[in-house]
Amino acid sequence: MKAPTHLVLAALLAAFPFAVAADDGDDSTALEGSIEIGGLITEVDDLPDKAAEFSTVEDGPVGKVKLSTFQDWGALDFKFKYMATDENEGHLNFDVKRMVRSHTTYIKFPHRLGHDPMTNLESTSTNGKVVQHTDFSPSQDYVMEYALFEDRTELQFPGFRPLTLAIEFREQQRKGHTQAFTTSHCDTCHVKSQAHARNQSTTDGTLEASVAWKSGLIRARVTDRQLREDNPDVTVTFDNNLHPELQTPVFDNRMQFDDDVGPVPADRKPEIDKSTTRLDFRWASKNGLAITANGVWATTENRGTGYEADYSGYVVTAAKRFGNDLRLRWRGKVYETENDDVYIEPIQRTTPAGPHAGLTYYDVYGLTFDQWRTSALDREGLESKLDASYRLGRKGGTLRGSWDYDVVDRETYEVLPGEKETTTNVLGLSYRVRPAKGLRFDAEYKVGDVKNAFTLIDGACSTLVSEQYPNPWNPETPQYYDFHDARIAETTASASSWNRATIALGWSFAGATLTGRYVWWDGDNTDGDLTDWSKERQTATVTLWSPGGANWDWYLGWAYQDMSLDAPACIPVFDG
Amino acid sequence: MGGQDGYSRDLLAYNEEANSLLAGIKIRPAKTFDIGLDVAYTAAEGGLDQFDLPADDYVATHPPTVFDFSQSHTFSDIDVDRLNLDVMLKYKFTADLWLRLWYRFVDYKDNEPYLWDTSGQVQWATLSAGWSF
Repeated sequence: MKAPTHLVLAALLAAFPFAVAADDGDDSTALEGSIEIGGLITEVDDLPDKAAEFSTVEDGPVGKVKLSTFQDWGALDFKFKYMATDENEGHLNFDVKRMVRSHTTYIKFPHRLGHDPMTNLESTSTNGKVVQHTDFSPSQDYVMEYALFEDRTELQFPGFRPLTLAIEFREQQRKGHTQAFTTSHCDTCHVKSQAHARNQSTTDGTLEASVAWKSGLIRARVTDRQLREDNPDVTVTFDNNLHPELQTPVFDNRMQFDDDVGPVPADRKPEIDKSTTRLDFRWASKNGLAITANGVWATTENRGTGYEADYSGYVVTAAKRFGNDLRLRWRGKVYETENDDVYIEPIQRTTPAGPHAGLTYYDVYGLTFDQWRTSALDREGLESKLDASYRLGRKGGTLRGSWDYDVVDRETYEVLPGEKETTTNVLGLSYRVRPAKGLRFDAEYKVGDVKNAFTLIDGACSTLVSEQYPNPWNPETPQYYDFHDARIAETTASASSWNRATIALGWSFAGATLTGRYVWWDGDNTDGDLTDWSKERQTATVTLWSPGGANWDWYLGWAYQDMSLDAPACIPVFDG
Repeated sequence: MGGQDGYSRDLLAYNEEANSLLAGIKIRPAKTFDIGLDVAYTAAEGGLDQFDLPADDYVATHPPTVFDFSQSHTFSDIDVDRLNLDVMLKYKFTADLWLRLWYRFVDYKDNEPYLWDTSGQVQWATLSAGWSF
């Protein structure tokens, strides 16, 4: 249990102020706090997976400790709440004469993932084709314990106050079991499930230095991240590849694995190293102009394959107030992501029996499917957000207009035939007013237009009409790539145009407060071939709160949402 | 042994709706006694409208063929409701000593199980004594 150990270390650090106080002869010893001790009993009927998705269902002792003190030497604030071994949380904050400032938090809780019995995977046909499943861990509870420890400690030196040094440590642990699925496909569609014992840790260490002066700040920070898995994969033996009716190995040259290769790794989780460098700059002038700028450079490496992904991004913001009523703000960002290309080389198996006996797929059809894959995330991006707000007198409210402009220029990936660049323009207008004491009204309308919104080119609707063939080995029998090549529809779940309206109201009356908010969003995309996607969404919330009286208070709330989604479905019609 | 004989296309409509009601009250009937009650109820539904995916041309030339999607839209229906109830009672023997009872009840009903029935009820209760200094 590393994280609680870290909290203990942090608590020992927290004892440092008392030592300082003793050394200084400080006679302030006042310490406030509380201790609460008891027991927890739980009862579960049916499954706890949803009813207690993020909560313990253990019985046992519970406890809560709070400590705080404010002294000449500094301050201390500590709280820890223990509900069960898999659910507890706490924080520890302290500072020593403003020279050492530390903030530490810890939280741990379970996440129940549910155990899929796969009972929906049961079907047969009249000619031997079967969908079946096997659960190798039928009694396993799939629960991951999530724990997060975060600490930031700042050092500031009396001799040079503008300089602040900071150390950050963050550790996220995910421990438990997940359900690993693998599929064998040839003789049958056979889905196998087994427990994958997981113990994953993501550890971040950060060093930061900043220098501040009256009107600005420069800060540099370097972060190193390590993601580790104690058990990166499970092993599985795939089924023997057999023709579903003949029960003979005549299709091996179309498959990647067979039981003859024995156990192979599956459900593999990558281990990752990531390094990030960031520079920040802030400056504010006396005439109301404020400027910030930052740059981020990051490299992420997959430790198993050695492949790397690089990111670099730069942000500039500027804000200026003109008089008392007009304010302009702008935020610009450019970024670039680059990923290593990956060479795919499918296994060339020979078929033991049948018309293709002794032959690989390449021997028969002249295709290997060896290929270089480039990442769809290789891109350059530009984001610009501009808004201007104007106050219409003291009681006339505030009018605000905004323009968001966003360009994603992909290096190789096309989102519509011949198009790799997506451009988004969003115009917005909002109005906020307080027409009377205790009454607040907000309204906003936004219009979005997306040129070349993301679609999957030829993602559905294979139009292939083939002849009748005596068997699958006939040289003219269409292959899977023929079906794919004949697809004509662009599929999407991204809007190419949309509208959004928001209305909000706040009213305080007779000692009570009523708040309401309504949001409507409507978007569609008909830009590609056979693309016909649309979505409409509404959300509304209303809350009424009253302090009641000196000895009571109450609240009522209602939340509503609905969504309508229209999208085409396209199925190939097969004979055989 | 044949191959592909074209495709069938239809526009699917998916709709979902959720309503949540929340209420709570805190009462201090006496200086030594605190009572808290919170209730939340959520009902959510989602599902496809019925669709056809007709293949009229193909069926006309292959009379024995049947394409029946009349029930397919029901396979992924979502219909759940959830009740959360929290009760807290705190009694102070003195300004620094107290006894606290906390109870939570959650009832999750999966009325249209999709892959499996995720219904369940869980109850938690803690009794604790505290001292402040």
